[in-house]
Amino acid sequence: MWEGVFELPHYVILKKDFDEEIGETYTIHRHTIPSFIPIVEIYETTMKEGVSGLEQFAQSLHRHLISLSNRSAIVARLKKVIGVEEVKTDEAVRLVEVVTAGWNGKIMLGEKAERCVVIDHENARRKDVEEIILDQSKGDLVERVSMAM
Amino acid sequence: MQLTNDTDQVLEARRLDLSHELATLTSTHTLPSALESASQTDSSTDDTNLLANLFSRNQQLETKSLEKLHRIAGITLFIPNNPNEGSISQDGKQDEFLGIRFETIQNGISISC
Repeated sequence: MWEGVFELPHYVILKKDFDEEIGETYTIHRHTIPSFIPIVEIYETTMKEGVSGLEQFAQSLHRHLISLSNRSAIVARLKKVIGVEEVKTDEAVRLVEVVTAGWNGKIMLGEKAERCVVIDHENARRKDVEEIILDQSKGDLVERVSMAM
Repeated sequence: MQLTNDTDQVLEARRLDLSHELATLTSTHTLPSALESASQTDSSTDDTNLLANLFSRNQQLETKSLEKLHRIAGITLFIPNNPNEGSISQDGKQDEFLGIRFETIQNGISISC
C-alpha cells in the first residue's frame, strides 16, 4: 500500500487531424504543461509517425513532469533544513540558491548529478562545503546540505 | 295542523342530522382509505427512489475508486467535453478531441507490502 499526495494534474488536449503523408494524427490543441518543458519538440520527435507515437509522447512528457516534481520536493525539503535561511529557485527549479548564515550556495540540479558553487559572505569560495554537497556517497542532496552546515 | 307542522320540523331536523351523520361517516371512511392508498403509493415510490439513489451512489463510488486506481499509473486518457459541439474541422468532419491527464505524486512512500 502506498501513501502520498497527488499534485495538481497537468493536461494536454489533442485534436484529431488528418495528414496526407502519415494519415490519422493528433495535433496539440490546448495544454497546461509549464512553458520550460519543450512540449512542441517532444511532439515533433515522437508524433512524426502519427498515432503510433502517442504513447511515447505521453511517457516522455510524464518523465519531464516527474523530474520537475522531484526537484520541487527537494526544494521543499531544503526549506525545512535547520540553518537554511532562504531558498530561491528559478521557474524550472533547476537553479537553486541556498542562503545560510555562513555561506550562499548556488546548486544546479541535474538528472543524475548536481553542480554547485559556494561563496561565503566575504566573497571567498568555500570548496570544503562544495565537496560535502557534491559527495553523493553521503546521502541525498538535502542530507548533504544539512551536513555542510 | 299545529301537530303536523311540529312533526315536519322534527322530521326535517332528523333528516338533517342523518344526512350530516352520513356525510361524516362517508368522509371518515373514504378519507382514511384515500390517505392510505396515497401513503402506500408514496412509500413504495420513496423506497424505489431510495434504492435507486443508493445504487447510483454506489456506482459513482466504484467509478471514483477505479479512477483513483488509474490515476496512480500517472497517465490517463479521456474524452474531453467539447464546449463548441457543432464545430467542424477543415476537412468538413466534426472536431474530435483526446485528453491526456498527467499525475505526479509527492511524498509517495510504501507503508506496507
